[in-house]
Amino acid sequence: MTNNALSKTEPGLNRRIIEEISESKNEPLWMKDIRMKSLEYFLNRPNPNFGVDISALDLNSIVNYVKPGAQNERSWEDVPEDIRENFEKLGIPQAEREALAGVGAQYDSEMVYHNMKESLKKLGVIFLEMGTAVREYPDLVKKYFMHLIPPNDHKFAALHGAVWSGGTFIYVPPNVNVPMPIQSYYLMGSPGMGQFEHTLIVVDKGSKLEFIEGCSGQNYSVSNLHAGAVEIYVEEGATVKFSTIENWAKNTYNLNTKRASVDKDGTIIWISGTMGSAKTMLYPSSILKGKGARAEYTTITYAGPGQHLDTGTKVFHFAPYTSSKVDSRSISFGGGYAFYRGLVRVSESAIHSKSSVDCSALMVDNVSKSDTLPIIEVMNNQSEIGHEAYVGKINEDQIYYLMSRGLTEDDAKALIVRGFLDPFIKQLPFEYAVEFNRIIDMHFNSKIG
Amino acid sequence: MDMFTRVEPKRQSFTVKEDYGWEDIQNKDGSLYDLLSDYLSYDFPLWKRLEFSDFKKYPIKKYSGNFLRNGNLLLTQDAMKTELRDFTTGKFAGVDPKFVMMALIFFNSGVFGKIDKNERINLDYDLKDNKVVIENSGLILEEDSSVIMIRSYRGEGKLLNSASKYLLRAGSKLKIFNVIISPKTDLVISSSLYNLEENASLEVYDVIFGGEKTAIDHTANLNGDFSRATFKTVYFARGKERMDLRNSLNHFGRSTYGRIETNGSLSDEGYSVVRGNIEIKSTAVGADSEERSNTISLSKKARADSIPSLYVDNNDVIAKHGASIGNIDEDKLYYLMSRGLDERSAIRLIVSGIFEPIINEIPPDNSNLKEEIENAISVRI
Repeated sequence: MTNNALSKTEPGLNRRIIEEISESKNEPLWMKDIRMKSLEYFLNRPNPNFGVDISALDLNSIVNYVKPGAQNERSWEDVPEDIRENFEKLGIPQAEREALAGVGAQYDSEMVYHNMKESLKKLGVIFLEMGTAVREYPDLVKKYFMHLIPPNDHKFAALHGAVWSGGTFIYVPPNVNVPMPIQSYYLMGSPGMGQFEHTLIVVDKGSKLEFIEGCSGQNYSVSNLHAGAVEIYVEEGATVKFSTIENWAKNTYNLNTKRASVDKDGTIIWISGTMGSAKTMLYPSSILKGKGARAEYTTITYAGPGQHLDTGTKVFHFAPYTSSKVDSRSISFGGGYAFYRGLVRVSESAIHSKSSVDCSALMVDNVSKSDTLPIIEVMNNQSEIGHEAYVGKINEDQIYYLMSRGLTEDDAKALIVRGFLDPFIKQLPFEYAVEFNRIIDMHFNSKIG
Repeated sequence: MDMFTRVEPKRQSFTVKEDYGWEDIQNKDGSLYDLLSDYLSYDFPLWKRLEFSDFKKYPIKKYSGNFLRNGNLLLTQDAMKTELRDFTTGKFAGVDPKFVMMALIFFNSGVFGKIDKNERINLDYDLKDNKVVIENSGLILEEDSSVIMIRSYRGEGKLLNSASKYLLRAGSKLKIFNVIISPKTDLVISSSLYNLEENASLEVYDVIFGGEKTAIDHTANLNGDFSRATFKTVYFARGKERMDLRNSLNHFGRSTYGRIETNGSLSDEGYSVVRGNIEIKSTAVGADSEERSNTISLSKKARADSIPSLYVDNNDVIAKHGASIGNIDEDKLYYLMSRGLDERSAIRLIVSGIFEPIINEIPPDNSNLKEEIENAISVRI
């Protein structure tokens, strides 16, 4: 393979680097055009005028493309030792062996391991590393790629469009119920790098898919940047459940874009947990464009020491009888800052729509911060839109009660935090739920496990 | 904690060909020089939701008539000659600093006073005979004093711009009613700032039947421990009227209490933006704050935005908000119609129900004002 030659681009961004990336991937011309156009947008767009402060992020020092020392391997044993160790710590192969339909794992910029159960292939499900999909199914990819998230959407969508690498492509043909969840795992392993994976999911009419995305990274003193993109197309009558846990290293800027368009009677279910990173801006969006389309969100944001996590949900009701339901929870502790930013827009034509947004924030101590800003815009009078929010502390009565039953204060706090996050944890695959509970116990010095 | 910077959109502005200048000042006073140069250094704010992107410089004239009906107060130009002078020119953010400064400099009406006992104040501004009303008002409530103020702005004018500020010293009580019935008025702006010391208590009731574009801001700083503020706003927007109504509570003191309630109705292409901001600082241990809003939209083409925000820096607090936007409750409507009311009367009754709690609060000797509010609802449905 000729593309072995390129292993790492120089820091910074210019036309030559983009050309290098595109050529090393043997991409069709249209993809190179998207990259070049995106670069133009990126260079001309200002930083976002809301959210977290990213002035300390030096985009010129971020290495945009790192290729790990491995090709896409068919079997786990062929993956290089150090990379394998990282993934094994995360329990990926076990997960695959036990329940998951297919696992793709991305280390730095390229997918290193990709496998799919034979049975899925027989159903006609395509599950490929994104770059491979561009080469093998160019027409299918071209029809959808960066249509939901146009490169000029915002500065980091543009950056993504210019330097994207790796990620996952899934196509589910009509009337297929994918019986097991498909999973991808992204890991950032090199210091001072950017990860820009692209996930494109197309679920055709009447089909069902559950997809799980895990993200993490190792800690380095140099800042890392994650600016991925997820585009999900839910066709008529289809259902997609997209679960994600983003547990990036504490030096990562996570400026991620996720968007789903939902056709007639389709459903998108977002299960989203944001816990890692130094700073995050992430607002999974649902565009309900077909009559009767639905969106459901269960999200948590978990902001600890040194973290400013600006997350939220956006729902655009563009068709009649569309509905949305948001349950968003955040925890801030140890000086962490959680910000919920929501938008529900109900257009003139989206009559008989319903939306309810619930956000609640639990503040564990008095050095942390929690803000909520849920915007509602309603442009017709035949919809029912409601919103509730609550910010409060851990109930002391509950702590005293639990302590009177023999728990330490730390154990009691951990238990209450877990209870608060229960609706989210319940939605997670088993191994993630276990991991998640462990993280909470660790943060609160609890040993009840 | 300044560890994290919350990035917020910058103020957007536009320039106008002609702005007010020294010659437009009604009560020329040397101390206004600095303020004027500050005013001129600001462009006008660009408000997307209100579609406010142009300002017409209507001539400011001396206020004709008498707006102070009742109350032991000084006219602003007279107050400027007393120890209240610095208070009269005190700037604050309000709806926008440009409009607040405009009121402080170019006012043609307004009152100031220091109140140390119980006082009833009635202010009636007439926009029919005064097409441009610019008000600069302020009150200092001394310890344990108590004030009920009823302020109305009525009639078709061109521009209403009001800035008022209130200092509530320890234990004082202030209850304010603001009634704005100013149809077809191009621009209606009102900014109010309240600073509360310990145990001070504030109740503000707004009844807004706007002009074409209306922007209202009430901001209460709950500085003193145990201070309390309640904002209740009711509104109706019809035609192409746009309203941007903002109530803000900033909790600094311990065990402070705040409530924001904004309810209203929309017809035709009416458009309301309801903003409620609650900010609880880390010093405000034991704060209790809540905001609610409910909008009933009577028209397919009406638009209602709700922008509530909660900024909480302290864990020992109760902070909530809730909003609902929807059509008129059909069960209620059918019930009333089954009792013999026609649809229009039934809708009118339900919308009146939004206004009733506030109308009931207005002291009984203001029956004219109550009637006027009821009429204003009637003619709109």
